[in-house]
Amino acid sequence: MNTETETAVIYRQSPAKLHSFRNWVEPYLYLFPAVLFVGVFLLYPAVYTFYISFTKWDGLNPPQFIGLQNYFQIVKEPVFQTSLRNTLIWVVATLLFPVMLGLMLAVFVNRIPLQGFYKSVFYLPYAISATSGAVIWGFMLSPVGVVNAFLREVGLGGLARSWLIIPPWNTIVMLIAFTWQTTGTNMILFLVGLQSIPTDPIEAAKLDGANAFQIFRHITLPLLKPITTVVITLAVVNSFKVFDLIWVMTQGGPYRSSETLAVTMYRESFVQFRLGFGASIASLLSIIVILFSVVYLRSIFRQES
Amino acid sequence: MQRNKVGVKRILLLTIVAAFLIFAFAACTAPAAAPAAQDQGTAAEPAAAPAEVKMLELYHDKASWADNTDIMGQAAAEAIGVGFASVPFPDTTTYQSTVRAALGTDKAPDMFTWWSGYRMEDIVNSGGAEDLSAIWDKYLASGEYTPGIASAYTFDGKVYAVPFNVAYWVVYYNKSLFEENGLQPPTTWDEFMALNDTLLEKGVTPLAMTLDGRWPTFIIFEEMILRTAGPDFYDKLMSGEAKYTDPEVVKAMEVWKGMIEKGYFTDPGISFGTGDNAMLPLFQNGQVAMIPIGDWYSATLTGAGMEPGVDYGAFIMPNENPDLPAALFFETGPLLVSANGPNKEDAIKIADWWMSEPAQKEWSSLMGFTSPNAKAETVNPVSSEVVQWIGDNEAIAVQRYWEATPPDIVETAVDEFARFMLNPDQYMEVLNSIQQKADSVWADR
Repeated sequence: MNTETETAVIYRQSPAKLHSFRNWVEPYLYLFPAVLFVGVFLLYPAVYTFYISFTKWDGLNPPQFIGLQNYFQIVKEPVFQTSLRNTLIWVVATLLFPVMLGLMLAVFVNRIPLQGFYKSVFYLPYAISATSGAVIWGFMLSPVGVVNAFLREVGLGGLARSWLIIPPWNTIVMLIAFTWQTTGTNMILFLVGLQSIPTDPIEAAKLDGANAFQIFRHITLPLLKPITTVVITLAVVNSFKVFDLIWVMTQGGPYRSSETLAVTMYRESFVQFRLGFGASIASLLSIIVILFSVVYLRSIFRQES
Repeated sequence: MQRNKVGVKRILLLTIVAAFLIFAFAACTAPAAAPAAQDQGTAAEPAAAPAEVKMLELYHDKASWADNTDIMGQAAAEAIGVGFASVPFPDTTTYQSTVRAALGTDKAPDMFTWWSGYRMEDIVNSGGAEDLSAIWDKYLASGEYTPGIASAYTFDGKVYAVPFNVAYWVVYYNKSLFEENGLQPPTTWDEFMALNDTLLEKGVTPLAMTLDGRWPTFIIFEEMILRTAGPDFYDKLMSGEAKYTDPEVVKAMEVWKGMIEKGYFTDPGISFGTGDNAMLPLFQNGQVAMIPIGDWYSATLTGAGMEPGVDYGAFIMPNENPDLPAALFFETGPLLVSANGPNKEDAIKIADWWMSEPAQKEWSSLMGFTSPNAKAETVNPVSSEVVQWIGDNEAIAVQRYWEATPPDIVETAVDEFARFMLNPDQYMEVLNSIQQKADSVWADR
């Protein structure tokens, strides 16, 4: 009888403890795969890259610790100045073209019938991989490509040139290709924002006699701020790390004239096998992107609060 | 109902964890290098072989040679009981990174191709390549090979590779175009210049020149040095005894500049042989008359339907200075055995077989290459003529620029040559820039 009582007590306490333990452990189990993935494939490589940036390493022999020498070397390398300048051009141009054009297209598409059709048309280039898109543009822009053939056909042969080997034309045409490919995504994001804006303030403004531009400037644009923040942040981060399109179209050439920081990092690491030096560029690039993101997002949040 | 919900959640949770663990386990236990090749989408299926024959792996970055390499692997299996299958990488950068990362581990490829001379030096210094001197001793003693090629793989008196291919650098010309216009391959520099002028008058661009892919920018530079300053000066320049700012190099650049200004070369944005090949149809159609390149390019020409000796021929660019000896560039791709490879002894057997007369005959026949084995005849009639020219003129074969000088200098130089192609007037800035790099590289060695 006594044994049965004890057993009963244990029987009653056990599910409660188990339940409590399960409640405590269950969320961590859900998180575990993601945390492990991020840890193994993002945090560990990032920390290791930062460590490697203080070494001289060719990938064959053990890394040699050289302190800040790689970072001093970056400043001395003339190619770094070209890369930094090109990267800033990409950042500014990305804000001017894919983002602004995306916003304009979203406003336009939001007002017209057959919205689904236009959304698909403008979004379609994004469905093509960056590498494939770059190959297509490379063919079109080659000296014997369709762009020059068209210019000659319409009597503008004087404008025909080797687009990909003449600076700054090579950077300009790559920016056009990038705009073609990425504008659609920005348009979709802006469309989502536009469609979530309440109609009341717009109707009130109309009743007060505001014209379309005034409504856009003073009502639509401020209400779009959350989505604009996301689009700008993504666009700037993507423009800092743009690589595949440039690598396929020009490999950063000719004579390294179209390299951005991401291309220089790849080239130093995997073509010249200066892995320590490449890691220092990667670290610097990461610091720039993180700094931008923190400063930009903080200022936005501060304004909102 | 509540019990069902908890049950579903539990099952879902367990499924996620189990799936993740399976994935993680698979990722951890997969061979390190093989997935990299498969990611490129071109890793060849191992060639079919009898079940008892051991098949090794041969890594290379020559995807278009993969089928023929597999045929050789099968031939090795039949001849010596150990075969190999190729693991081709379509991208050179990925290939180099993968091999370099694997060499120090027990996942090192059994055999792999690389680049000779200075490009091989760090692989040898890291201990990643096996000493194959014993194989060379045997074939040098039999007279089938000359020591010249071995020198491209020799470090501290040991030979670390066998020749995967040997190529001579020639000027391919459109034979039909020449015949239609009554033109002959030039034998002197004056004839060469006259030929270029005649072609220009006929509306044909004489010579192909490209900066596409970066590396081809050295092609005309090395030819200019060899034709104006000769092989001895070239060797000094490659070893740092001469400078890029020396009068000999300045003169070579001035000759090159003059040829660019006369319109002898194509638009340097037109590619040939790297990435897409926009030059090939222009050459086939007779819009471009000549392509200076390694004779491995014959595979591209024949692949495009051009018949050697009928549609295209080859000559060696004549010397600008007639007092210089006959000379031409050679390039040799080494085949190495990993010192840490899991099947090293079998790989050494294959390397030995690869140098033998039957293997070289087969390889030369498959690829149309000139064989370095004296007993293996060259099948391609155009390549045979080149070999004949070398013998008749007792020509000196000089290692091409890419491997003949330290890679750090070459990487800077090919970019600077591209600058020169687009801005010929900047040749002194270009030479100063290369010399600045050369000074720092030679000072570090």
